[in-house]
Amino acid sequence: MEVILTPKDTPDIPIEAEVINPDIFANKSKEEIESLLVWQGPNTYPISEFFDVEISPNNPKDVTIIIEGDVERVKYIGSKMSSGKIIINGNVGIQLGSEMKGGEIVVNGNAKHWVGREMEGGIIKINGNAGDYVGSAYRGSWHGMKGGKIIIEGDAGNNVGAAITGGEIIIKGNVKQFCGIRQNGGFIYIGGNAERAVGVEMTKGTIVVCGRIRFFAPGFEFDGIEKDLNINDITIYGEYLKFIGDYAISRKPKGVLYALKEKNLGLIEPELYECYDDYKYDGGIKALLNTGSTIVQGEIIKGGEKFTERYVKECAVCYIHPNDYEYLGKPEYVNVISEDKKASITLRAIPDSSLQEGTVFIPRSIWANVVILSYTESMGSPLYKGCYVYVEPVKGKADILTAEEIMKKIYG
Amino acid sequence: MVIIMEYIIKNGIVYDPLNGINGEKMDICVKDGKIVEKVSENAKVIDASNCVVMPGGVDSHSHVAGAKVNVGRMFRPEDSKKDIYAKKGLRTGSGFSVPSTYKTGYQYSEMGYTTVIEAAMPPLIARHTHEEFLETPQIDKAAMPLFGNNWFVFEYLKEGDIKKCAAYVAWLLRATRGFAIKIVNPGGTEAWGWGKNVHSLDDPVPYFDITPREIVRGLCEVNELLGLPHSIHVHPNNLGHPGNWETTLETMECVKGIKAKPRYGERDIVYYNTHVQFHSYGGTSWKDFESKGLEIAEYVNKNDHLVVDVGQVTLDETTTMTADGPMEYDLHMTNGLKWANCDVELETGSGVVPFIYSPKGPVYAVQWAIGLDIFLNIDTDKVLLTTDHPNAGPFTRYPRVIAWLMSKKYRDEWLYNKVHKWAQQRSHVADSDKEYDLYEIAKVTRANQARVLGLSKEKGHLGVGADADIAIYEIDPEEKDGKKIERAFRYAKYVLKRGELVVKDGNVVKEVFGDTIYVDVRVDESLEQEIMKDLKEKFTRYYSINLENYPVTDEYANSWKVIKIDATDIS
Ligand SMILES: [Zn+2]
Repeated sequence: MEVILTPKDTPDIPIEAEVINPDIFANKSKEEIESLLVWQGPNTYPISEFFDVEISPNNPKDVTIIIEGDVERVKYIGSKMSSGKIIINGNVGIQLGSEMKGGEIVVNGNAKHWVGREMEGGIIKINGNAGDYVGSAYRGSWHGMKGGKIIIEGDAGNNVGAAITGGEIIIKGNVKQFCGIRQNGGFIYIGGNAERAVGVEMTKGTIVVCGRIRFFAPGFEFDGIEKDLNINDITIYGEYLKFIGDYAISRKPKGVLYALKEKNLGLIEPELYECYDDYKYDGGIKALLNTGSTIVQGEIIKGGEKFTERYVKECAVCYIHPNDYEYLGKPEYVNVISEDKKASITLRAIPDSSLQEGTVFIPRSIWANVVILSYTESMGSPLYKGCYVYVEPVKGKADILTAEEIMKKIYG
Repeated sequence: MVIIMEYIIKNGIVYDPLNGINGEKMDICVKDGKIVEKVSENAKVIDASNCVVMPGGVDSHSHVAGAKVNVGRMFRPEDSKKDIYAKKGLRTGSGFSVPSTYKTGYQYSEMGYTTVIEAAMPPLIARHTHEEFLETPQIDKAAMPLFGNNWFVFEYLKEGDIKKCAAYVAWLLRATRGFAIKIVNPGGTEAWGWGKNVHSLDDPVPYFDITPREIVRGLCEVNELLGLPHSIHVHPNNLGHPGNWETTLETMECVKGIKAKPRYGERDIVYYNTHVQFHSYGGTSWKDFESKGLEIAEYVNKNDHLVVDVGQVTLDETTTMTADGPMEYDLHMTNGLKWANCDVELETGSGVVPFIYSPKGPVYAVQWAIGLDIFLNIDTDKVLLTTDHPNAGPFTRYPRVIAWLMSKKYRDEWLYNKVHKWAQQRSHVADSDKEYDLYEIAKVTRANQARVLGLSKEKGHLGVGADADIAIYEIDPEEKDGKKIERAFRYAKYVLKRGELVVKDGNVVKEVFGDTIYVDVRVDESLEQEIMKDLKEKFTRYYSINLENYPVTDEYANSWKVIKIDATDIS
């Protein structure tokens, strides 16, 4: 049986449509399918409110659902399905195939977060990009994907494969932060680069990174070079540095992390370390920003002296690795620009060798707030640690805005 | 118009240990929230044929409200997701091991429980506990403030000033609207503030140089000097460590000779050892770990100054939470799961760690067996059923524990088929043929609790004048089918809370809000003046809040039930 769902409009409030599931559609008539209920906020409506339903009813047990169009605001499609097939010709919303047990999902477009969350079996293929938490555990849990396979043709976001205990995740492009965090089994392949803390807290399982690893977690030990890997009957050609970890979380970790040798020599020979090729550009650096409260700052705040010179002096500053500081021409002041380039703030520059190259630190304060974006990974708090900023030198003298001036000038 | 509420519960088989009623068919009359001799002809009839009638359940040790419970809820969204409570006409809730407040109240009520004591209230954040009580329906509540790591207590006891210590305890109970003296890892949590712990009864606390023995004995004397309804409520040192049973016995022994002198209630013991299962461990490591449940039970049987609650492991995935900060750190280092840790200024601390008691884990199987060893070999007048909710398992598993106790067949099914063989090899569960009858079940789930809490005038029995808190279960007294026993106690047929029908066929049919019980002890005015001086000084120097803002105020309960005690003779 083939069921074609054509979206009518983009819903204003997202809908939750876990009923779009071949198991549920099986043996149902057009009318029965049309009257299945989906949630929108606190209310339920028949699916026909949002989709035109067409059906070719031969072989009613073997169901293929085809969605013709964008369903970015539709959540939970294929959640918990165990058989059949879903094809989506467009972009799709969060929780696609979460807790899936079998069958197949193909997306000819991009997918949002939580693709295949905690899935146990089946195949999900995204012929575009995916958001955060591909195959990962849900909030608080330490049991991610157990089985099955996820293939992302493009890039994926943060926390890919968080706490997976089995299964296979293939990302052909790049991944962002914390890929394979707390992995305890299974296999993750990254065709491109892995930013910041790949494999951190892993205790079992395998990760292969064919691009460059940026900001490597400290708890991995080098375990030699291997050639032409064979993992889960897939041969991955090339020479790889093999690491075991994460020793930061376990005394006897069994996590294995392979990094393509030609792109990652800096991981074993510090003098070759350059956190990544493209972070320096003419006139500035693209750096990973971490924020945090300083002790002095805490003392000033607790003393109720947030509007003093001392507070400006402590917080309106940007700490930079000495090599980067030199590259920027040892400026007295820098402009720090948000990743979307819509906001910037001028700060005093301070070289600091305790930082990693390519990272900067700004005390967590009103000055840092200016350049931190609203992106929260749907966590309710922006990324105060680990977002990107552009840092560019200011020629000569510059004015540092006070907190009041920031409120007036920037926020009106 | 005055609505007179009268009920007559007919034809039930009554189990009421405090009145010596053991399975008699009799009618119970209820009027205006109390049990009465007789009712008018207008009384509504509750047909309890084929049912047993017991007083409402009383839980003397459960972690249901307050800061650390809420930390458990917040840092375990995965626990929340596991159990959703959504019933028509009721507030929705969630959480398997750390349920939200409404779910907590409803589920206790479904099980026929009508009174629950929160086992650990950090005094400084007592408001949080009371705020959650405000939103916990169906049950009467009380909370026990923590005293075992308190700087004032340490200093007064060290100086040997038992009277000032008593005046301070009286003040703190009133200020926090607390019910009894709770002691957790005496001295150990303060030592944890120094990165240390205490490991025996005579191991001194850093800086204060006081020992757990002095703390426990001192507070026990204070308790009896004040004449509090409940005894000291103690979680001894070395919880969860192999070989700790000796520390447990020593702690029990150290208060011997102190006489029970309650000025309210009918308590006859001076020492309450909570979750004694966690304190009955033999061996020297997890490798030679074994049950010392029999030895502990034997001590309790031979001595009359104490009772124990068990803290039965239910073999579930749960959340551990205690004021025993260093213990939670050890736990986190053992299981590698997430850990929350908190320090409460001059008073206490706490930790929270998820825990998976897998039946197939050898150690967990022995822990399960140790609880049963105690239950099966102890005098049933001296033992209370708890799971130290949620530490050894959620309270919703009480019915399963009851089934293990009532049916050897069911117990053996677990022992031989479900749990690791260490449970057979390292405990005596297999040797015991003991099966609890309903009279004993009534003792260990309500009557004993009411007596040792000092609440047996109004709770835990069905005599005339008692609160009409009544549970009616549909069960044959001879039932041995574990599943049926479990089902019967999980979903009561009827429950009355203060004379109102609140549960029918296992469903909450009426939402009510019980009292918050606390103890208000009056001491001599000049004695109180003296400790106020010390309080002012310490609050100015060390506390992050002002003394005036410390006490919990009237609006923090739906209704207070105050137990007033006159102890002005102490001077
Ligand atoms: Zn407890």
